[in-house]
Amino acid sequence: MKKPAIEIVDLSKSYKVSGTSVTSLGDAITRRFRKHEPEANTIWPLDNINLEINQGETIGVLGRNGAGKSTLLKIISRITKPTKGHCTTYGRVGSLLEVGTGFSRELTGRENVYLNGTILGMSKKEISEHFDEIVEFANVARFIDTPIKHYSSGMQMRLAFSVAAHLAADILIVDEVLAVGDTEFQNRCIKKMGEIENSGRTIVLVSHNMTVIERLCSRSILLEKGKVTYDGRTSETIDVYLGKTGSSSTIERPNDQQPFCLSTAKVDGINNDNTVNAGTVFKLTIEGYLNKPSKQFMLSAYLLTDTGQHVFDEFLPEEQCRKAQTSGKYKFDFLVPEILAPGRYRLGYWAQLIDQSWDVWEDDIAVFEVTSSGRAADGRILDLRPNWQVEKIRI
Amino acid sequence: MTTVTDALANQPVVTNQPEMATNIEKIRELKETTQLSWFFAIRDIKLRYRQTFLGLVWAVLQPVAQALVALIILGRLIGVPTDNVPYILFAYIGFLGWTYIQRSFSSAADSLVSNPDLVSKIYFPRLHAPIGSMLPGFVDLAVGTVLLVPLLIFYNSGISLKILSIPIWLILLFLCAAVPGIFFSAVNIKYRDVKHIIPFISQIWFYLTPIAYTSTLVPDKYQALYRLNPATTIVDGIRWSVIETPWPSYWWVSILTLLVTLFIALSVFSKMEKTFADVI
Repeated sequence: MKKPAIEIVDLSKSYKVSGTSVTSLGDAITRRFRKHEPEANTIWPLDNINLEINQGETIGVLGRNGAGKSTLLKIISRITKPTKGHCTTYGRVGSLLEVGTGFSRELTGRENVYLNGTILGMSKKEISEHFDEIVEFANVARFIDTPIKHYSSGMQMRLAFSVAAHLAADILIVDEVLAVGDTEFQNRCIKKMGEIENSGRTIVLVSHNMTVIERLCSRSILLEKGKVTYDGRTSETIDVYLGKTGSSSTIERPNDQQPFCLSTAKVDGINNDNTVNAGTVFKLTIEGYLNKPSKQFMLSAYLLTDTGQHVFDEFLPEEQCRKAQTSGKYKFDFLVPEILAPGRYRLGYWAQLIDQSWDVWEDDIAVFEVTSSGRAADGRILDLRPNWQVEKIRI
Repeated sequence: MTTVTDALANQPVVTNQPEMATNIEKIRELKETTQLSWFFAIRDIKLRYRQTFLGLVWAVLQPVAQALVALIILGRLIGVPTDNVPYILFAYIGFLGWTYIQRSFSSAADSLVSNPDLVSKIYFPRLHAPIGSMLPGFVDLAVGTVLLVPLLIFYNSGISLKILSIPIWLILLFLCAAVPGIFFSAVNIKYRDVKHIIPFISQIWFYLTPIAYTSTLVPDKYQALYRLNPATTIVDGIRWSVIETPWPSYWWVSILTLLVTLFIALSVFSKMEKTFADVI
């Protein structure tokens, strides 16, 4: 019989979001006397989640930004409390949320390894036993007595992953850590996670890298607006996720009165089956409502590969930005040259109202596939179609 | 992979739910993770002395300088009576204790907001952060005490069995700093103007504590009121055990206040603890 590692029952989490947040005692006091204060809205990043994860299982969590993935991981790792329901974990939980998890900048790598181990509830002796392994895996031996603040983000991530993977956590929570770091290290991480799985420990993995999720997790769940909308085999979950996000590579949304709200994202010149022929130029179009006039509106569109790698990240040039200052509905588009190699691509955008310190970004607003009858994709991103020339220069 | 099977054998089962853990569960958890407090303490000690040129000298410079200034202004110019004890000896002991309280409570108040990464990305019993940050003060105190020895010899001040009560006074000293330290470490996360309040509070607190003057200067009818500040009894108690000044009157008022306020501080902390990671 399978033993549970994580049991989540009727779990919900809410936050109060008001127009302005109370960060000083003065605000807290004056707020009580103000009558026309906008009422605080309650948002539910997690809405009645039920989930059971067994020991030895590696489970992937998919979903857009803001779907509640991070909140779910924070509750499993006890960093924050749920509003309703409960989550029970069986065993020590090690979490690795974003880069540099819980590192103290001023401390050296060595001291941080011990700090993290201590927090995991391990004795000094236990940590010392694994210390060499950790350092070797992270490949930071030369810098182990240097303060973490001098580490590159890649080094920090390598060490953080290594600590979490080697210290004896029974449940390992990994959030999007494979986004940084070189391919060689990513492969070692994936291999290590496979070993952890084989040793009977449990992993909960969030990643934008579909290939990694597909390789490691037999089961995945899809989170949408705080609810689990799909729970099943990883390949199915990925299809549901990408199918939904990129249904006929277009997205249509109502205006939600946020400072900027996406209304449409589409790929022009696309075939009916959601594919683009390799070697053709096509147009990416993003339409959205600017609900607040802004002197410094900024928009960028980026394309990710299936593995979460950035293909490009293109900002609207300044003279074009100036055309979008008053409120209204705008259309932004540009042509993508014919250089994309065959493969699946995911469009995202980032809109900023710099003068109001407000921004919003979203991955996977449109998903499409570049297909070719000729060469296979085999992992490359670009097909340059260069103008090769051959010339004989010596006999 | 034997370690894994070992770990699985006695794995902790934990439920994360909206209801707060009971106090007994919390105390048990704190006890099981005591090494974390020590770790925070050792980290702070290392950091404090790693990048400073004079290192430990800073630890004693503050009480020494303050005692000297007080000696000149209060001892010589104004002539504050000190229960027949040399003024410098009297004031130095006072400043040693005060320096501990003041430093420890302000670093405790900062202990959570200065570690946003730890709080928002890792779970640990949060109380370890303020507790751990109040331990390095004892290193300073120990260094300061070394300097006290020549003073005691110079003024030919004998030592009696009362000195054996020192550990009790040190525990009380710790608790006395812990009350505002724990309280403000939690409040600080939500209201960042706490950092402006702390210097203000510590200044007022200083004048309300017999550091540079004797508590016998306070009229008898106000003594009980005066003792509402637990620091008064603790500072007097330390002097009583080392240089035989009078035993503090109404000492029980202080102990009672200390226990009540400690309970309040811990309750506030455990109530606010739930949302630390969301707010920080």
